Amino acid sequence: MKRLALLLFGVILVTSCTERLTTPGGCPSLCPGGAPEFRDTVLTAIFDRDSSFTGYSSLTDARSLLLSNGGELGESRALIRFLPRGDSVFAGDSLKPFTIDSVVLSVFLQARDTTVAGIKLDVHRLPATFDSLTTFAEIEAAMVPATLLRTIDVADAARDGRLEMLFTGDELSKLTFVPDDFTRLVLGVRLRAPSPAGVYLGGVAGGDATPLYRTFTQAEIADTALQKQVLQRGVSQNITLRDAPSPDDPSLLRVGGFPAARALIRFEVPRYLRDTATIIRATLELAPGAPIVGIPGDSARIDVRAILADFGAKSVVQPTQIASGWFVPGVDTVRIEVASVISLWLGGSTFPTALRVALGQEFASFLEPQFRSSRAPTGGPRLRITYRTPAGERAF
Amino acid sequence: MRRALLWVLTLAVGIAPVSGQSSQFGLRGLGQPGRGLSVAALGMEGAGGLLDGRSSRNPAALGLLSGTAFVFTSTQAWRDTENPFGSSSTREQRFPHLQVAGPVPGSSLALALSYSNFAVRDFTLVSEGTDSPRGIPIAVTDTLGSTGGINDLRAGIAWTIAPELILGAGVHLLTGSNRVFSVRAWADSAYLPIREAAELSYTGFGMSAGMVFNPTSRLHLAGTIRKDGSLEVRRDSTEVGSVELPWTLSAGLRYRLSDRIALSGMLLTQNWAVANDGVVGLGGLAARNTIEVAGGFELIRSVRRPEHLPIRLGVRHTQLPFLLVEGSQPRELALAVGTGFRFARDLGGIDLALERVRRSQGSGFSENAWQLSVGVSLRGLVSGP
Repeated sequence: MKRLALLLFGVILVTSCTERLTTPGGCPSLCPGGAPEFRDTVLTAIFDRDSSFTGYSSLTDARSLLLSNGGELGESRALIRFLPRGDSVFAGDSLKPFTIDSVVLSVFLQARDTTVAGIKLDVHRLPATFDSLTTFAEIEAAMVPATLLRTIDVADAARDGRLEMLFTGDELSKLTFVPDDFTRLVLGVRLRAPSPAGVYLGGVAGGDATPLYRTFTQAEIADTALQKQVLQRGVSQNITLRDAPSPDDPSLLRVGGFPAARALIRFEVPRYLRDTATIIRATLELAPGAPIVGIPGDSARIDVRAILADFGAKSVVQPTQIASGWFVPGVDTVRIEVASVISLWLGGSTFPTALRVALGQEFASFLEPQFRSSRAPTGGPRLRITYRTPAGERAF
Repeated sequence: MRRALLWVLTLAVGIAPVSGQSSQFGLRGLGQPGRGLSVAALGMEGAGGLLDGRSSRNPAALGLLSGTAFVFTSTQAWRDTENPFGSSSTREQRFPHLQVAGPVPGSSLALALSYSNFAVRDFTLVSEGTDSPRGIPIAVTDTLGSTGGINDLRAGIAWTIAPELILGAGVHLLTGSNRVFSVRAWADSAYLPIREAAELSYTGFGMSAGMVFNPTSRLHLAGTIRKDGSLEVRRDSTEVGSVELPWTLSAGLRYRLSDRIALSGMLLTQNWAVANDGVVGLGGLAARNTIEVAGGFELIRSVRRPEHLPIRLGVRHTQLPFLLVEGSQPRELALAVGTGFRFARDLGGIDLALERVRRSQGSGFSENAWQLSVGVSLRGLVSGP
């Protein structure tokens, strides 16, 4: 009987080969259920239930610093506070005083207005007390010829790259510290150009593009192998200072700007969409209520998220699903594909049918769109939804 | 008895998850009809199925069983499919028939429980094309699939009135489901893929009656009549319709030219047109009446052990009930060769059948398949008193 059982299972094993079931076909002629049917619908934002709010992100978190010298872009200055350098260096088994051979300061050019030639960057040394509370007027007043460290000529062909300033000999006196400085170097940067232009410099959140402060020293120690040391300091805080805050028109939805704003837009979603439709594409369309300006070739990202609970300005944002879209200066409508986000609204979901719209890099873009709100006569926020109707009872 | 049940349960549990079939002619309607034949009968393309107690077509044939038997069938198919959208090679594995049957000791009755495919709807269909949900054509890839089918669970009884005449009856429970899914992928990533799934479940009942008549020692006649009721169709537990099932009439004969040679023939017809309204109401194209004709030849090499290494040949022509596309009715032509051997004092047996099957509808849709069926039968699992 054992042999019989083994034989039986052997037969089953041999005959139980793998399957390959795929056959070419063509819908709708071959497809049970017929061809899928798609429909389009447009949802407009609920009237007067969309707003912009500020106060979410910090001016110091920017990945880029903005420099501009008037025109559509206004006036922008950069303030860079380095970490304290210290006045001694660890050599051997203890801290040793040092003498400075040279200092290299550098900033990173991320992007520039390539249509303007003769761009220069004036780098000033500012009082160590200057920080994120400093106003535009204060930094402007402090950036006088006496505080000028160096003027960087940005080559007309330069698109990006690190811009370095080497200080040696007598020039080192411009970088000496008094006790109240606590060895902290603070720089201010201003753009000069024959015509209005804009420049992006890397900020502390910009990764390798962060400003650097390097001091090449000669430590007072007998061991010659330990004498030459480099003290490199990064940025503790950097901000962009604008001559005026972004306009705050309550009839518009501002996204980004200074201070950075985020918009909350609420929609009414019909039951048939929530319950039975399969949404395949959803496009959030935002029409600017004022021209979007920036340097030529500039672009910015808009991030759209769902919210977990609607508490107005303090709404809790869904953390994992995010839809993004890019826009450029002069665009007439910003479109963001948000199907993956609004799919959270469907079925038995309890998600509020609202979207939180924010600039991808806040405080780091000249582009600060102000979109028409639901209060505008035309052009308010709208969702264009393409969906598939339920397959219904067609089964054969 | 316990051991026999263990065998049945082990095999049933072991085989259930891997059954499958993928003929394109199973796409529409209820799918591709099953056959309820043992591998010995398949070796003659079903020509002797009405006189085969191991098949589940004729309950009266149970009276021909000389002892209790467990029958298990496995079929592997290799198929080349062609249609206007392309061609492909598929392979599949299924377990279309299983039966436990035998005479009731001390009586002229025989009983059977069997499982067989009533209709099989396993397929995966891939198509490419374009769609324009927003007016701009976008390339799409559609995948549509189904697994499962309708099972025919039969309880049958046969009464041997006299050596010349056996009557039989059976009740059939039709149950099963199709797990249907569709996926659409867009070439434009702005469009989300569509994934939909549904389960179609089926419930129905049927009854059958049959007879075996042996007017002479060389001529054996058989006939059956079967009526299946209305098949209720549910989609995800919601009733969406019903399909009227057909009457089945069949007749067969076997004539023994000599002790070693037998010829068989079978004619079967089903009025599937009664299912047309239900099938169309659920999105199908049409259901049409069918006729199946089969003829077979068996050469017995050992008169003392007739099931040991016989040679079986068969040919069959069948109309398929469900239209794949508008047009002529699909049809199937099959040739078979089979044999078998017995071992362990004839307690165990393995039958083999190799079929060459061609199915077609019009000039655009066709498939050619090799089907290898292996049948395992165990006798004497249930001890008599």
